[in-house]
Amino acid sequence: MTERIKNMADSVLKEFFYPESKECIYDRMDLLLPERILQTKRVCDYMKSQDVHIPENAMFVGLLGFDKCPYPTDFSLKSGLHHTNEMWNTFSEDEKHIPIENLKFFGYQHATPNFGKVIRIGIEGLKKEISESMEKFRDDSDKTEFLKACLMLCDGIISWQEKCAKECKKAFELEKNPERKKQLEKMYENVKRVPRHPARNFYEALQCLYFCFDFMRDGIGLPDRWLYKFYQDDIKAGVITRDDAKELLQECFIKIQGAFDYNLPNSRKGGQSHFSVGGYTVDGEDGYNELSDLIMEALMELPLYVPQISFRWTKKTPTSVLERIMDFERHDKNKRIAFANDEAKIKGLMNCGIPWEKAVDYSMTGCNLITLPGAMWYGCDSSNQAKPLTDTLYGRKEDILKAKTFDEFYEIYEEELHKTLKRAMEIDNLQNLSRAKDECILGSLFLDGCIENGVSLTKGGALGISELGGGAGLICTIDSLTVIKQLVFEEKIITMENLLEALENNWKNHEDMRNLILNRTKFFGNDDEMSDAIAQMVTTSTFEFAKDKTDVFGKHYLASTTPGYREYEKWFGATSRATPDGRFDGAPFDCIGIGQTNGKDKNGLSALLNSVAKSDPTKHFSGVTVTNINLDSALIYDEENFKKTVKLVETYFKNGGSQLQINCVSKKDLINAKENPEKYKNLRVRVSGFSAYFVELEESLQDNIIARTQIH
Amino acid sequence: MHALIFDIERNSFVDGPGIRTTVFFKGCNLRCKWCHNPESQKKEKKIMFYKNKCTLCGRCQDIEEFDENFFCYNDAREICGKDYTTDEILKIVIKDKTFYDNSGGGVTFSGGECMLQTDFLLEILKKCKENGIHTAVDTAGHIPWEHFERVIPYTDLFLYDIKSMDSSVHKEYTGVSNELILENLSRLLDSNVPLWIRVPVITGVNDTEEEMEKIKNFVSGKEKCEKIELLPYHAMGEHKYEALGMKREEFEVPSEEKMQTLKNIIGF
Repeated sequence: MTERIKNMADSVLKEFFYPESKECIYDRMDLLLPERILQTKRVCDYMKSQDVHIPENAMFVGLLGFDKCPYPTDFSLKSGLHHTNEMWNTFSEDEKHIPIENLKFFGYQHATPNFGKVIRIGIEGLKKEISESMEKFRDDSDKTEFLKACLMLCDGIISWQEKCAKECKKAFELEKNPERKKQLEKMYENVKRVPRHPARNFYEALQCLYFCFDFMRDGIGLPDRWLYKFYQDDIKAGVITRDDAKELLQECFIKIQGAFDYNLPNSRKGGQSHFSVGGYTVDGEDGYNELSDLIMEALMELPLYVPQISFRWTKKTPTSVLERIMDFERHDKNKRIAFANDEAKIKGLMNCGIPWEKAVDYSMTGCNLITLPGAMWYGCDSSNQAKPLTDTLYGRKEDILKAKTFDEFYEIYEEELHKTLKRAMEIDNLQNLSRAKDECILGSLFLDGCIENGVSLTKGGALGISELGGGAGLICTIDSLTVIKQLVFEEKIITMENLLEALENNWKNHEDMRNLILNRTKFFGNDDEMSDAIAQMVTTSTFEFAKDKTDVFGKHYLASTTPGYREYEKWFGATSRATPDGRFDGAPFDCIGIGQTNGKDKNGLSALLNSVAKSDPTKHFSGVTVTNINLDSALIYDEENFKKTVKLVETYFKNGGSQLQINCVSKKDLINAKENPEKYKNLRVRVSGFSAYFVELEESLQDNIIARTQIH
Repeated sequence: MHALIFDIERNSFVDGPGIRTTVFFKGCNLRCKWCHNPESQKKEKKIMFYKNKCTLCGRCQDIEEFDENFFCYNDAREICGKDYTTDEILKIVIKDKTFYDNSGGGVTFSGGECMLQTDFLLEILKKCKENGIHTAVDTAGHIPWEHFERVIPYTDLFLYDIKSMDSSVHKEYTGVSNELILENLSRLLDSNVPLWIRVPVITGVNDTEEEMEKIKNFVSGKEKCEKIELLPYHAMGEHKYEALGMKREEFEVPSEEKMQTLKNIIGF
């Protein structure tokens, strides 16, 4: 890492990286314009009025904050909630943590803007597409107006770019230091060209990415694909060295970190910006190339929290590459790396009707959501996966007491499951329609489909996926069903009456039964046929229900289990009554995603991973899921054991496991950290879709992480 | 055919190459004073009782001692040792075959002393080989040579313990002298099977530089000895001694520096 980058990285975690946003005075005549044109004009005016700030020694231009812009530009956080935001804020934080109908949370998910396309065709290319679309929809006044707004915004972006170029030129002319003068000249040439025109080399392409990131601060997709050709050509032509390229990448990553205020607790969780490297290329080869490796190296050298990165493994990934990434991972104090398996993910996307050519370009985003470049997630945030179970046990007593076999019981459960999923879809659609009251023109430029369809992303214009499934409670459901099958129907040690009575009493005066259940049941994660089969039943029931359903915008549902950014396992748990797996009323659900079962798996990590891999990831878990494991720090730093761990992960993926996150810390250290937080301030761990400082986590999450399965 | 097994540990990183499943046979003919698996020693089933988990519910009052159908609700009482057929073991072992194949791992038969149940061991070794699983036999070596001759054809690797090169020290701390053990080791080293030597390092017993020199000299020039592993003593078996109502002898845990010094001498 160069001195320049080191200083910049240190300062980005201390002070605000962006220039202060400026209020803008608008023309009152705006008010006479149609709503979306007014909005667009004001966003353009706002951009034009902002100061150009070129940090000392910077190699890029274009830092633009939208803090004082009167129209929300970040669709995931603001837009769409525009109408409901003020009302929403009348609720207290505690109230916001109570799920709607014990089933859903409001909230929007992520997107992956297609910056690759802008690098390729430039804003002028977008304008051309818009004009073509306008021609196509010339009889549709609504679409024409939307497209007109898009066009205005393109020009607004170009004006902002021109302003940046002008300031850069001024700085270059005033500069005395000949070396810096040369740099500024180069920067001026870059910003004069991109993003308006297609990038012609690696530096320009990165300048384009740097500049455009502010228009949609989210995932950055697949830089190792988008930039690879430029990188190869420039290296070959001797225009750039590997070290030059690394430094430029690092400055871009620093800007991304700088976009999120490090002092806000959520920003420290580091899931806001997420991208991918590696994975299959369209010709079926493994796509981890020299640039992927350079990107990994560049990011790992930096002491940042954002962006996070997913490494896409394929069956063709050499063991040496997996070993290299896991080596990065074990030394990464900020825990930014997750592992995704292309075999499961791509198959899952194809199951949703997405063709191979598109599916291979997926990227992980946010807290481990799967998207395509230019696509976004529609629908609400997480849902409670244990609700159908508690609805069955507490609401269908008469019916389940009549059940003579487990299959009869499961039929009743499945009815409740489908009822819940249906309701979840309804709530999703209500939220979709609420968002549709708003427009997000700026975001629409960078998501695929909006221009082509002449429809704002908020109204379903963008390429997208809707999630169906949940956020927490899946393992609780599988384990509870296993208890019922094994102890009630097969071994007949407990009667259904007694079990229901124990649940009604929250296990009071039934402690023996609870202990029996905890010690006797062959819970999920033990590579045991019964619980593995039940996991498959539940995932298949969900998948079959979801597979031909679409949301109000016609987006396909992808059955999945969102890891979530927040303490869903706690919030859903708090509103859920006691469950047959031994859980008490209101207790948090043990597991985030699918995987660790907090000590209920007793057969070691390979057994757990076998169970997860068998639970049919291509159906349920292709979308979103996380599996977390803890590796003892003493073990992972021993070279021989480290190599075995690499093989363990590789085998898990070969067996079909979908995703994995690793913590390299001993149980003892975690327990100590909980007791003596002041001594472990810097201990960072993977939580679900994000990483965080262990001592800053809620107690329930800390316990959850402590109880994860370890290699011994 | 049955064998008494007291544990099957999947995903072991420490009992040979790659990712392995280790099958622990019950019954041992040594009595090492530092033994961390005291439940492995007797070749009969034993009751392990964890006092702190017992709620005095009384359900175990009137049952037969080894009633397989009885189970404690609170996990306070368990029968140590379970009869397995070779097929039952194979069924568990084979579950992780993809992990073995991908990591160069396999199955390890350990104990106790697995070679005390040679007939059974032979049968399960054959079945594992038939299924293409790499096999390792972990032994203390105090077994007539004929038994080795029988298992050698189906064993891919021996893990062979050396506790002390001094016969009287060996007898004092393990209950048997080491002549037969070293003789078998010599013969094994001349056979065709790869072998790893494993030395539990016990403070005050064998933690000297001279001892390491002796071990090194003993195997020097033997091609089939692929590795000498030094395993520092640890006190993890403590709660098991308590559950079995047995007394435990205390040893000091060797320091990391000490282990490094000894490892440097061994040179593996």
